[in-house]
Amino acid sequence: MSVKQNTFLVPLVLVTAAAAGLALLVNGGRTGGGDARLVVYCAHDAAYAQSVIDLFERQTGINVDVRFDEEANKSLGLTNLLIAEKDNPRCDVFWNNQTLGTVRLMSDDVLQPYLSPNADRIPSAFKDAGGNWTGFAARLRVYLVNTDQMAATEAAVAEKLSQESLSRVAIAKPQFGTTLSHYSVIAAEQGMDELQAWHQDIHRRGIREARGNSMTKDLVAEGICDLSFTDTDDAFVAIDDGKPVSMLPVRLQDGRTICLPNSVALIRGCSHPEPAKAFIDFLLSEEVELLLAQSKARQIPLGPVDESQLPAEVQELRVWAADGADLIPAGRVNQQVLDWLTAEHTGG
Amino acid sequence: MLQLVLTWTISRALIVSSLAVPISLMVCRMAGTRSTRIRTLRRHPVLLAALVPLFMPDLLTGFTYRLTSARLIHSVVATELLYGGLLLCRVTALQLAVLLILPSSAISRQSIHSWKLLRTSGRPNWYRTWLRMLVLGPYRSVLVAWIGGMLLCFQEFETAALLQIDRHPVVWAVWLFDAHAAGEPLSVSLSFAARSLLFQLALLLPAILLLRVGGRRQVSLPPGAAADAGLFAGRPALDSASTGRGMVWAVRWLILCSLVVTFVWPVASNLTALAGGFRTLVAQGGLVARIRQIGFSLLDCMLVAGAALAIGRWLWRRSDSFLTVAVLLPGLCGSLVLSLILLAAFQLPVLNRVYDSWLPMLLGQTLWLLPRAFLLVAVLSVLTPQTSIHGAILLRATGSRLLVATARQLVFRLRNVRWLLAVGILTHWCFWDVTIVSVLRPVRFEPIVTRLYNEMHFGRTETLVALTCLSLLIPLTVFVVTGMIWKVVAVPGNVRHD
Repeated sequence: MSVKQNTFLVPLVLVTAAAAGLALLVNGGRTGGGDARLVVYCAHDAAYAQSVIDLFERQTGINVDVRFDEEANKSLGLTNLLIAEKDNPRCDVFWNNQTLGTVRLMSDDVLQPYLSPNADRIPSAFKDAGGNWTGFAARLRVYLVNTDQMAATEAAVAEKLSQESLSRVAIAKPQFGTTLSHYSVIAAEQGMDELQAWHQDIHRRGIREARGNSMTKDLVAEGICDLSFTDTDDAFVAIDDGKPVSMLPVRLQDGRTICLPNSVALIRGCSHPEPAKAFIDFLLSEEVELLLAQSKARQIPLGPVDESQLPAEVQELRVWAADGADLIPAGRVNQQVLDWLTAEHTGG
Repeated sequence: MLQLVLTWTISRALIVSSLAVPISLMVCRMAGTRSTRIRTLRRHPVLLAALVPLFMPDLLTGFTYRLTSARLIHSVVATELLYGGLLLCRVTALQLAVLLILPSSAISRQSIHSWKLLRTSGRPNWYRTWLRMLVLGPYRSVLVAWIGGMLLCFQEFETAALLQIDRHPVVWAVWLFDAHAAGEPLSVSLSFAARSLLFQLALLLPAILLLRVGGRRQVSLPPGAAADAGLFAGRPALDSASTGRGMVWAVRWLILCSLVVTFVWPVASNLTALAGGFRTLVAQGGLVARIRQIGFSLLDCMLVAGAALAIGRWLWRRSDSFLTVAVLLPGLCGSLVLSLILLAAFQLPVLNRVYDSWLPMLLGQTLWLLPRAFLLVAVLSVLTPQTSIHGAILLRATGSRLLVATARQLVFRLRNVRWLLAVGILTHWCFWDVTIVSVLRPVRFEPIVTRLYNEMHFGRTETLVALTCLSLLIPLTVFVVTGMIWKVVAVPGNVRHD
């Protein structure tokens, strides 16, 4: 018995092929184009970054295609993607939401130097002298304290961290994000041996390791932990939600804070260098730093801005950010720290 | 470390899948014999409730229980139990679906009993035949369901990633993701993935064999064995046992708990945020953009599901084991490894021109979906009532308008609806996978699932809930409307049954 069946699959396959072909025609092989457009990889949160990009499009008439990062990728996604695409880059500008990942790209020869005129307003501790990358609008590493459980003072935090059990203290996985930067800053200041000893000590005493800063914030906001290491933008989410929390800056042994700016860089061999430079100039402007300071993330301007337009919280953060450690030495040991942490993870 | 993580993940899969088997069998018994199961499904809310967890997005489950997991931070056992419990709900639903749709055993209990009586007759290879009768007979559906459960547990990633604190629950897929994201080169990640691949193949191949040998082909026993044992199609052994009243209530309670844990609580706990979420979306002027985003994501996934199903059917018909394994292998690597391999491949000069197109993403999604599509094809092919379809097709050749219309309706129901459902299920799986699209999508396309992840990360629960609601409702509506239109096209005119 021969029964011809499921004939619908044939048109379905044809439709699939047609759609794929159409998609290829629409999108494929466009890297050689010279139109007024720009491809930006952006690790900053889409909700805040989109308004900045929209403003750029309105002001310049340049169309921007943005590839945002996903939390699933832990912000290493775009960095790894840029390395994978190094020989045939489709990205023109990389807007990273931190700095050290961008510094690593420099050593992988992914970046092309560009000395933006607006980079002059950024302090030298937050930019590469050769123009490979420039920092702007920063976050701080902070302790988030549950004020129902303990006092939000530096003495109380120090006492908590010196206790034998750290089972009510949380930190994010150090292989990723700003926790990796935090580790790198410690390694640059105190050396790898000291960093490893500290890491082993806090884990021996049972510190809680969450997958991201967002979860460490939740652990404190919900009263499950008393204290966590996180960033200012995550801390503000809990504060805005009315949770019983307060924040204090994380300070290194010499009293300096850990200030982690966004960074922007031009990609070597990119297809649209002129629009890319215009976008970098725009990001490094006072206007953008003010926009990001006024967003819910309350990012800290690094260059001079009109103080009267800054929210009160940001003015306070600016004082802490002024004590920020130099990130250049941290950038040098970043890869070493990551290699060690990866070997720890895989048991290699 | 890899050894430990793999052992832990496999052990969990073994325990969860084995625990789910008796539960799904009990639920299946409540539905009665196979001939009445599908009809009962419509009238049996308990069965429908038991199947719900299979269609709840992992993202929503993980998001709902992430704080519960956080509260269990001080007990590793409790965290593992929470994750195991969530998996159990989903695996039970999967196994139930397999048991419901796979045909009854071709070897009856009476046949097996008869064969057992022949034990003392000194027939050569008695044990071998007896074992073969059991595996290809009453235990075939159970084994396929158990293997399906194992694979589902082993591949699960999203919920585990959202629940994980202090490395618990220990999950291989999350461990591999962390290793690669932290900078391990692709070759090292591939070597890590190799062992898991072997494990999955060791599970998948017997399942395919069971479906092929015990399904569309006659079970061939040694000469004389069939006559001696009296082979005939009948009710599977496990269906016929009577189910006690207490057991029925226990099963109902289990299903109710599963429904509450995987559906009612995630929906109820987020419902209050729904209205606010829609208000925020409208206020931001993002509603239309998000609906468009869902539409494109759906179109992409429907195309992928159709392609995977077509390739799966082609593979099934060719019956070439080597080719089948070769085509299914990339999908079994898991979405992370597969997308990284494709990413590297599309950097080669010969492929780079189409790198920033939809092609890498479509290819990646299709390859990832193929093992599931192939299993669906295997199950549906075993199920297809060829004789009935042939009869209905013959009926279409009659002159009577009424008969022709009835025949068309019959052909539509027997042949088309099941494939539409298959496309729907595959689309659903593809729609909610984040890894492949996050690595391989073109710059101009942002799927809705990546947006959902970002909303979740930054704690915008209201918008997240509204978007999740839209992402569930829009595809469902599209499928219902597509089914209706297809029916109108395939079955023109109304049929009156006087």
